[in-house]
Amino acid sequence: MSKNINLLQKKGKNYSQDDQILLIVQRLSLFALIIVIFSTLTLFALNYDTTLPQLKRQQNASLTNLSLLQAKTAKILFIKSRLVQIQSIMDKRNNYESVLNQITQLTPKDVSIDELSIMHSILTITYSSKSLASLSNILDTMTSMVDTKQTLQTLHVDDLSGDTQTYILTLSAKLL
Amino acid sequence: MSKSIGLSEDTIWVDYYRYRPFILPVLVLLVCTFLFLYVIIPQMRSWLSLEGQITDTRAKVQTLTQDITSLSSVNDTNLDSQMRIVAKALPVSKDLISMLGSLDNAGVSSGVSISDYSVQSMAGSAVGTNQVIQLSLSVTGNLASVEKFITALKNEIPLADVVDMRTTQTSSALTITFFYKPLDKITFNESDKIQTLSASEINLINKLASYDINKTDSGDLPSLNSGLN
Repeated sequence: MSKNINLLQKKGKNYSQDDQILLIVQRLSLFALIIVIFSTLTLFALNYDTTLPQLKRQQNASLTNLSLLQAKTAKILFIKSRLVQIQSIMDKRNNYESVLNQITQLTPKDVSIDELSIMHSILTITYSSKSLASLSNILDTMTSMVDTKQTLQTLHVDDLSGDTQTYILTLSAKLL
Repeated sequence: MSKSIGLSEDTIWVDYYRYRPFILPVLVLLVCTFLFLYVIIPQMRSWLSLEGQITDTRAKVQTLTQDITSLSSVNDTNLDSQMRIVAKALPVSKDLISMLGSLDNAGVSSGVSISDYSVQSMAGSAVGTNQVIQLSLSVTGNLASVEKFITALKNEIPLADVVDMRTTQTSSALTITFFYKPLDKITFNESDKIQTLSASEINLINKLASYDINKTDSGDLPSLNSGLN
């Protein structure tokens, strides 16, 4: 019998490795079991929480109370919605009274406005005067209003005519 | 010499006895893994979503409670009065009587006489989200009187705007639009917070009320019941 053959030693070493693996597997399985049991118990406890049903009951009670105030809610929402529209209309309304005021202010006493029209933001004015200098002053003032972008955007002299008695100046301007 | 290929019955039994202690822990591991993946993780997800629901519902309840508190503090009579004013400023339908009334008031306060009223179309036309009715009329008076009339008309309700004008030394022809807006469906979501009227909104209502010479404290309010969700 050869002395190099030692089956027992080899067999013993194999069992020892198996035991170590078994120990690891057993510990792992125990750990997994603990995790699963702990998670299950925790989830059970969490799901047992009655907060949501209580909140739902509170919500339903509040909705019932709110439905009693439905008319007030509708009125407030109606008023708010109208006010938005009203403010928008008021902001966008034409400011013709201010335009007329400015034109009246800049018209000298010896000049009369024969005709004035505002159509689609185009202002047309016909002035008449015995003084050509006064009409020239108006033209200068209006030109400076265009330059300073005050009320007027553009200015055109449509007509300038006259006889020995009266001069007539027709201007058209685009309002800002 | 014959070699046996594969596992003999003896080998299987030897392996079985050798690995028998592994069976239970491995089985436990597999079952635990299965439970963790297919039961515990979905349950945790559903719990997290439940937490989200709780947070949402709590916020809704808080909003509803605040709404109820703020609505309860609103005076119903004041609200009706405010509603009447805004409904008069921007009517829900064509209100020709009020339109002519405001023109008349503006004429009286500016000292001009108005004539030749004509409604260009009763069908109404849309300007933005509003509907308008156009009226043309003649005003007797000089440029200063027309300016006063336009200013006075701006301080009247229902809201109006002068769109076109042609004036001579003694009379003027004006085209005026009156605004109205049919009743929209009022939508209200329970999660939306109801804001009571702000100071600027109350100021605007007071401004409109100051335009209301006739001080309308009575009259029908627009019916809103059908419009609320």
